[in-house]
Amino acid sequence: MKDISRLALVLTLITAGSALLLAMVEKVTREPIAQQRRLVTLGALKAVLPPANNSPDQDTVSLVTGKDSKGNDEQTTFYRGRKDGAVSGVAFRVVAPDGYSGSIAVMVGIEPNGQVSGVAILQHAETPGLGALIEGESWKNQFKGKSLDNADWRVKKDGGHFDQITAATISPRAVVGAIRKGLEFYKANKDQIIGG
Amino acid sequence: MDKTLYISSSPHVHEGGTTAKAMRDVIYALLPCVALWIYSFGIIKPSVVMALCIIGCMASEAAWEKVRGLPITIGDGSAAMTGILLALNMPPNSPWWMALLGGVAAIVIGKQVFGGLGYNPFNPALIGRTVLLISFPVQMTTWMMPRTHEITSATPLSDVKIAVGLTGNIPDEIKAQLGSVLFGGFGGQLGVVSGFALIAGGCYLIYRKVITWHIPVSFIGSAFVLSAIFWAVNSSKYPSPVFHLFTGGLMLGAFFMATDWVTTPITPKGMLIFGAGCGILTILIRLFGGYPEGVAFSILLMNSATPIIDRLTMPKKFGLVTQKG
Amino acid sequence: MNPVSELKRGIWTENAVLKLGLGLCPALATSSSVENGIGMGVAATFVLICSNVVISAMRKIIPSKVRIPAFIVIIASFVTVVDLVMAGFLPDLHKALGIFIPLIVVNCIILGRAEAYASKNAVLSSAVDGIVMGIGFTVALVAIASVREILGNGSFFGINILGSGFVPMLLMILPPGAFLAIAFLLAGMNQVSAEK
Repeated sequence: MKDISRLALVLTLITAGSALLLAMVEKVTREPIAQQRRLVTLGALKAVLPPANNSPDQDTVSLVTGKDSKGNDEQTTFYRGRKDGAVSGVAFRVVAPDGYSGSIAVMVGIEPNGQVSGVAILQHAETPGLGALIEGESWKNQFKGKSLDNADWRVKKDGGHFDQITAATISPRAVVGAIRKGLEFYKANKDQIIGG
Repeated sequence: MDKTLYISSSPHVHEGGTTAKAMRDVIYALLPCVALWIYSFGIIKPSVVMALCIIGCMASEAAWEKVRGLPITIGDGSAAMTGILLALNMPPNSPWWMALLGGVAAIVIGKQVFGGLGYNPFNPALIGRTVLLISFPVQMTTWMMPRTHEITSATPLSDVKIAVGLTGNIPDEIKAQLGSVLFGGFGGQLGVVSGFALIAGGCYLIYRKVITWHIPVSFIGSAFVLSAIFWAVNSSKYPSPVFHLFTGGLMLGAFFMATDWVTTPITPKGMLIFGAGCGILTILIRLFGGYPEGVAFSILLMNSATPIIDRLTMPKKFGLVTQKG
Repeated sequence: MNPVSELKRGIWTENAVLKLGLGLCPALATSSSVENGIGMGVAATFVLICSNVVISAMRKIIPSKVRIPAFIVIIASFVTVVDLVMAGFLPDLHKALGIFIPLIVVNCIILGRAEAYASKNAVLSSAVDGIVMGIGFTVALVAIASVREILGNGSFFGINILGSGFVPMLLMILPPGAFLAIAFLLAGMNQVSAEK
């Protein structure tokens, strides 16, 4: 009995000590981590939105964009960039579920008239040197200025307007399809997104 | 399979067979196909690719054995044959360094690290091809059309895969081209261009008793039966069995790669299981896998199953009684 | 205790990855570039030194019946510290190493040194053991990562060194390349040791 209480006491002391240490470290790093997260979002927003002089990550509206596998509503946050008060562009995250390995998260920026102002790849697990080339600047830049009206949103191999990548068609096809869905949602809900 | 093997007591007469002789037979059997491919892809480029593959294999074998202080075995022709088979699995317009590197990878990673001829668990030529396919997917899937020499990334198998993925159906133009598949009218591995030259070479090997009929027949037969079942269920989505047999590397694989002595089972029953496994896996990878072609992967997978197949199909010793209890 | 011979022990004769075969999982997974290799090596070295020191200091208090849970709590605390600090101050490295930071907890090197060395030796020599073992782990990771990054990406430490004509050998930055690189390095080391 005495032995067991000694074991418990030592383990309690060790866990208490480590809890104390972690609490201190968490306190110190809480601010920088939140700051880094915000910088990542801001960086992606800045890359895809037309010039703005507000803080797009503070000027948001959330809409229900679909249902997840359990039938619950899925929300998407729309970030609005403003130039001198007027909305100059909207950015939001679209997810391509059909990448070569897992889903690809893309940040799309759209001008009020429905043209794409920029695209950033937020997250992917595509093959390095092949599918991962979707992160290349020249590949992402081909979307600039394109809208549902002036482009066929498929890769060239499928008869559309957008370049695939040699030997890797699946990743570009997934990204192009996801952006098209995003544009369609924007077109259908433009008033709510910009006005709300 | 119920043949009885009679062994008299020694001395035995050596029939004079050596590794070098068998390799020479395999090379003879490949000659008509090699000649046809070199001719149909414009002579110079495919000859260079083949020469570099052979040089890569033989040079790395000699260099490795020299460094390790082993007897140099490039005279037995097995390295040269690995080089030829590797070349037949590559685009004829491959860059020079890719052919060399493929030869080195085949011999070093596929054979010498395991201890040389006789110890390698996997077919070296296929290891070379797989290393190249994963490393250089762009170059390894840029094929040449025979005769016209047009550069294309499309093979009949990849066309079917893309079309089925997009629309769920096989386009009519691919169906219409089926006739030319038989005589090598499509882009693709050098080794697929003419099924008939390969069948002829394979028959020569069986006639010369370098290989037995078991693996080719069960490989091709199981691929035929499985693809025929899918085709019968839905012929607009799944290509016909004839298409499967004469596209990709199936004939080359069935006669020349899946019959490698070292990496395949030694019992007749084991050979039948091995061939059937290859055929079934090939069709499954082609129809449902990520890659349009599955011959190389299925043979390598079955290579890894060879020891257990051998153990399970080992014939009983004559007169052996299983002990009870 | 001679520092030079200790260092030789950590890097060569008892190299955790290439001689003892410990820590193979992070060595395979985080060696696709030299930068990631160094990041992982330094993070693991930090945890190793801290845990060795603390475990050595407490070796007389911790009852042997509960030593494994006690070691794991101590190691996990330091790993969490590294995870939080990296997320706050080195976000890019944190993103690249991802799941492998928390997995340092189960890195056999660290528990292995705690059990085999720190729990039986004085604080100072345990600290030295942590340093040399950590350096050995880092050196092994950098060696593996150099092979993989040069062949698989044509670059060293992110700088292109083989020119634009070089076609990278993708196999080497994909998982099979890690196995090949480790195998050939290990074979080479054994060959050299055998010749001595």
